[in-house]
Amino acid sequence: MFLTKLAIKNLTRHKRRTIITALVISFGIFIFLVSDSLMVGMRDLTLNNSINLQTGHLQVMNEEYWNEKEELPMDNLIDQNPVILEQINNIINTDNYTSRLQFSASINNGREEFPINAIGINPERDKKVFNLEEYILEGDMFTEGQNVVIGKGLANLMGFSVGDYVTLLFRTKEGTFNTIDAQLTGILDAPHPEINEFHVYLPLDLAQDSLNIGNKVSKYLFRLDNRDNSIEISNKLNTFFNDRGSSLQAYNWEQLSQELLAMIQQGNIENLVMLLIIIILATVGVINTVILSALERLEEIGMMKALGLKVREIVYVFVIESAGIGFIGSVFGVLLGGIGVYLMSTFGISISTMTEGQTTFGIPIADKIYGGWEINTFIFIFFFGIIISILASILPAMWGAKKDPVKAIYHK
Amino acid sequence: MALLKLDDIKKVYHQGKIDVPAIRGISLEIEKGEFTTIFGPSGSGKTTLLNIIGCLDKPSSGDITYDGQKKLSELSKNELSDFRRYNLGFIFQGHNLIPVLTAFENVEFAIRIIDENTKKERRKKVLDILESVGLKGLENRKPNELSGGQKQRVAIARALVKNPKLVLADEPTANLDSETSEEVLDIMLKMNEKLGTTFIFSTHDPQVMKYARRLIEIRDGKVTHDEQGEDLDVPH
Repeated sequence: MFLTKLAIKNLTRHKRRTIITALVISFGIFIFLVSDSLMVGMRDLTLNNSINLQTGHLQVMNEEYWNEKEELPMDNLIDQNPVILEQINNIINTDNYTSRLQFSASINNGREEFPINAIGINPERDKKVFNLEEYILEGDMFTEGQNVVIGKGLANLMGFSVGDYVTLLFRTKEGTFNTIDAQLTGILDAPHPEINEFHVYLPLDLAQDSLNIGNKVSKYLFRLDNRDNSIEISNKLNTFFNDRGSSLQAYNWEQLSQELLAMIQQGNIENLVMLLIIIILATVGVINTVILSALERLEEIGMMKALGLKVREIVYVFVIESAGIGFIGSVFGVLLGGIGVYLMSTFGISISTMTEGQTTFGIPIADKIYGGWEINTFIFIFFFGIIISILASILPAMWGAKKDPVKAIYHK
Repeated sequence: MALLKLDDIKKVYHQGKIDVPAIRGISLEIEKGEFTTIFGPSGSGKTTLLNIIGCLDKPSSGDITYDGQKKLSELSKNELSDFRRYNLGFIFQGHNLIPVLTAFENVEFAIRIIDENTKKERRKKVLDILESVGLKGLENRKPNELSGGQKQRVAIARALVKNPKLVLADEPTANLDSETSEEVLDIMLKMNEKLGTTFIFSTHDPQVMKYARRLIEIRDGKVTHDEQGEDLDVPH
């Protein structure tokens, strides 16, 4: 206890040095918290955009279709059955559903062709699951007929304006070529690069007729009251499908966003880099401080040894002192980080200034990212700052404590 | 029985390829309650001898027997630390007080690490010893608020507070004026008489030697003179 008291008092010996070392640690913690908050905000926004524009909370499709979904096959489509749909809706307890038919096609402007992902939708039902219409930049969403809506990137690439006629070239289920000539009624500017650059939306019945597949669709898509229930509900649905011997399967948004989640996981590397920066800052600061302190206190170390203190007891004094510096640094860092995260979560950061209006590297994000709060991160980094300070102090403290007592006492 | 028995102590320092002998075979006995001064010119080996007696340094050969039982050469580093902790008191030329602690806390340090007393007993011991060295009322001052003599008194109190059997003082008056030196030496002599604590000084100050009840002269690492009594022939 006395040694602890001595260590704490030692913090006041060189107040400026203590504060500077603590501030270095604070700075690292601040950077980490702000960066983490940005990552949390980006993750939330990314997932929300993906859910609101592409996946919904839950999808039902044939299991075989799921296995080949990247190729947008014309096999294993769902034969729309109002009875089954009603049973599904009863289990999910929602009317927020839609159905989509996706197929590969090429868009043609008379001079050039570009491969796209064509999506047949029922605009009225689609609104219950997705908020695509909010992002119509020019024109309107179609209601029916020979009409299409495309993204801004694709319109720019192909030189299309609202009112222009667009030709879609594709193969039917039987493998024969077919085309759709449709008028461009709207251009989207969605916070999702894939939608802006590769998607062409057309009425579901037009797609079904042109593909010669009757009333079949690729999948049913649902919006739930709470996305956290999606796993539980998908399990319930799968039990229902399995009991009936149906080939249908339900997939929750996490399964549907696996690639995106993997990409977000990659983003966590950034956090590791930040942690490394904190480790380096704290280690250099603390080692420097402990070595300086040990050098200044050689006579005292010698005296302590003469009094009978053991090496581990002298090391303990330095380690507790460093823990104190880490504690001060962590407190300041967490406070500064809290202010930074509050500002980011309130005012956000414009991503367009960061990317200068260019691509967002495939990540579906809007033009502004708001910071997110993760209380666990604050707790973790608080203790991390203290622990790193302790660990960084051990070796230099041992170096000081192991000094020959005679040399330490008479070092002048 | 002698408190300390030094048996042919030798100490050689190795400076590169050259061996520099500091102590060239010293054998002597120190009885309990002695007030002994080791004197000699600079470089004669008196501080080295004091450090060896205080277990801060190891002899190259020879051994020290403590209280007729313990051979110090047989103790490990940790055992030597414990030996110092419980049996020895040190007073250094530079007092070596901890600047962030008060006079009370600096003295208390020596018994806190022994931890044999209750808080109340500790407090009484520290206050008594501080009063004995004339520092009553200055307990809460930090070293930078004390004069050189007062600091050395705190160092004496720290050395004595645990009632050690042996106190080693390396030129304890070297940084003090003659008046303060006398005050400090008076205190140590008083403690020697009151508590029966054995004192060994190293010095080349004739003023300190005047207080000695035994004078040991060292030259070139050897004892050249050893005299005991009340009126010793103090060299100038």
